[in-house]
Amino acid sequence: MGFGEAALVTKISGSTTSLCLVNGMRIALNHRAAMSIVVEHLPAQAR
Amino acid sequence: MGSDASQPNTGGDPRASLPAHFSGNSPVRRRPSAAPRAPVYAMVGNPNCGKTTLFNALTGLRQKVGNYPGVTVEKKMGEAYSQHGKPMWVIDLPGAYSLAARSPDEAVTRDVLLGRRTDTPQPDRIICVLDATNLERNLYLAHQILDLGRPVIVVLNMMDLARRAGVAIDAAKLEEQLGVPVITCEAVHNRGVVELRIAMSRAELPLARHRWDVPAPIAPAVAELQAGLVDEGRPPLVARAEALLLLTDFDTVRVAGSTPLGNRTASVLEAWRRRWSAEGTDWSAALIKSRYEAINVLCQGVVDRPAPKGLSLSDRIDALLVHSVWGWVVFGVIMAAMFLSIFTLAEYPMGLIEGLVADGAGLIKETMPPGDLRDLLTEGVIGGAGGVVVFLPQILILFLFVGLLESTGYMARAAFLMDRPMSRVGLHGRSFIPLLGSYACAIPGIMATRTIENAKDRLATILVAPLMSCSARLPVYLLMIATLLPGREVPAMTKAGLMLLMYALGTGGAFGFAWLFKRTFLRGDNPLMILELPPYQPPRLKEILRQMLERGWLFLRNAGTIILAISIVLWFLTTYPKHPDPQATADAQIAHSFAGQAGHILEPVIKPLGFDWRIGIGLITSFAAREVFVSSMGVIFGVESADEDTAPIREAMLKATWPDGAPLFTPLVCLTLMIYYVFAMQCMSTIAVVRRETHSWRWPLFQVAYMTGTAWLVCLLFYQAGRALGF
Repeated sequence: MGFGEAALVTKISGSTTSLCLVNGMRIALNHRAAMSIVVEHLPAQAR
Repeated sequence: MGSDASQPNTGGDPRASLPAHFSGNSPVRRRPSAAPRAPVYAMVGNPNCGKTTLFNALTGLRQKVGNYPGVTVEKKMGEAYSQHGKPMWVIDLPGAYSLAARSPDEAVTRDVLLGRRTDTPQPDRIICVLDATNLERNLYLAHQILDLGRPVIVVLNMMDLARRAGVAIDAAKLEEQLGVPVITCEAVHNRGVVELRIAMSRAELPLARHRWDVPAPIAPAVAELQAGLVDEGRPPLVARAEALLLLTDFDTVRVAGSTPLGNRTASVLEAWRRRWSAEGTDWSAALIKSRYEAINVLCQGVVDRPAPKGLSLSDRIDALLVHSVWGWVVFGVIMAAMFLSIFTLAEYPMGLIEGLVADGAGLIKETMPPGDLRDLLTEGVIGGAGGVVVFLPQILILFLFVGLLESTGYMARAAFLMDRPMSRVGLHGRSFIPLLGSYACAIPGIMATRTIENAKDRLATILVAPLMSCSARLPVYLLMIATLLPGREVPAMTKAGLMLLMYALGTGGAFGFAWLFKRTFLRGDNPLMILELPPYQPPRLKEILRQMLERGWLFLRNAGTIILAISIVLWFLTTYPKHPDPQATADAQIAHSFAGQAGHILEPVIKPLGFDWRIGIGLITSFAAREVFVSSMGVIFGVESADEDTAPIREAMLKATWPDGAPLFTPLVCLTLMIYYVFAMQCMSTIAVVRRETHSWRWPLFQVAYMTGTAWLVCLLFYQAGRALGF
């Protein structure tokens, strides 16, 4: 869908299905889609 | 490279290349003044970025728009005029996130832009519409389009929403960096359309000066594939763009009308893929990453986005509307309000139309001498088509609600909410938009399945979409509920509850069959769902009103053409041959008629469901369209009450009896009939669309067999169980 490399992703709600904000765009991800995304915690100074 | 408005590179009048269906259902405005070799513009962009609104503003056409992705699934062509009055053709293409198509609707866009379609002229110029609130994401597709080396006009649409979100865009700087005209626009408010038209009117458009270097490890493969494609006749820049697409994972979706890949190119591609797989090179990711890096550089100094300030109002609304509990409560309230409105708000206008229809019939009876012509007008025309027109107010209310849901952005939230139950039956939320659209009509719903990437998921959705209760079932349900619960003393809530039950039964049936299909012949992995949720917007009342009137007109047109024609034919079939005894009762006359004979042949099959031969005639005629059942009942029972005053159909039906004098339309029979119409495939137009979308007669025939077979079986069990329980 075109997610930028430096996208800000905010999880708004959801457990089985997640609603996120990516580059100012709201996207809904189902569980399988969410599980295929690698999430890394950024160190505090990098946020 | 490239072309200009006076020298389009399609080599001929684009209208000569118009596909046949453009002159059929697609609303092409033909004007005799169009000069040959009018330039062809393609309008492209991400889904829900406002392309169709802009297309309508330029061409004066009225294509459907909505606040959710995937409204446009087929290319549409319309004629616009330059500032100097010269004609130009504009093609509105389905939204796409990338030229690497992942679904059939995206494949249409890719194939038109790359000139792969044999039925569509390759565009001379491209209008690239970008959602200004999400410029980085939208620029990915624009970046690919600039690679094509064709004249491009960039339109930054939804500038008002961007401003409201605090996003500042330096359009002049973007224009300077890209080297192509950049127009700021608010298509909804008709702002920027004149500026776009002026840009489109320019004889010369500059080509993009923006350049992007292919990552070094992939460059040799791109060059080799490009050379092969040039040998196959592609222009060099199109060949390069196509080579880049072939190196992504997703350029495998093929649609009717696109030309296949040449053998040599296919073997070169396969050789490079094998080589990279052996080396462990992720060539697809490298290409995407490289393009995004270029976009990030491009956006520096162009886009100024404010720092996030926690959850916005939209976020808080979303937290409620898609909540695992409250989301369902809101959904239930909206549905209940819709069905309650259908019964309460429509009561007065419905009574008014009923009165007008009865007055019309009464006037004809007073002024014309008795005879077949008078009977044809009162029982065939007014009793048939007039009986259906009565339901116009309910149809309008249904479309008012559908319009509100689409326009505000709730439709996509409903899809999100439905993902969980749908994933249990093997479908994902994206299938819900076509299914929800099928509540209005299965035909656009089935066409909307083109946004579904996986072929098996798409087929499963097509197969179950007609089970969703469409607006054509509404008159049947309303007639049966009015017959089942006659009189005003029955609360509207009870009637609405019964109606909601029928809609729930259809939806449950659709889910049940999707589960069955996905576990048998359409077995596959549970799909990934990534769905864009559009921003909430106040409803566009003018647009909703326009769509309501369009649907209302379509309903009246059907009543005045197909339903009227069937009513007249049915009147003839119920009137002739005449009974040998001139004093024979109306019932005996119908039994003796052609229709009566056909109904009697069918009766042994439907009698176990509680239906007699007269209902059987209605079932046969309504195979054309479900609402024909109502007009058929009007004709059949109008004939019976020929010597009485014209009465609403439901009153005539309540008087109908079996030969032993037992009432025909008992509450159990009314419910059974409603259940029959929930499941049975009674729509020839839907069958034709399924044939077109699946490219085979196999699936529409399967659909007729499984749906009508289920209808018969469920009705048999329901009616016999009801009888056994003493109803």
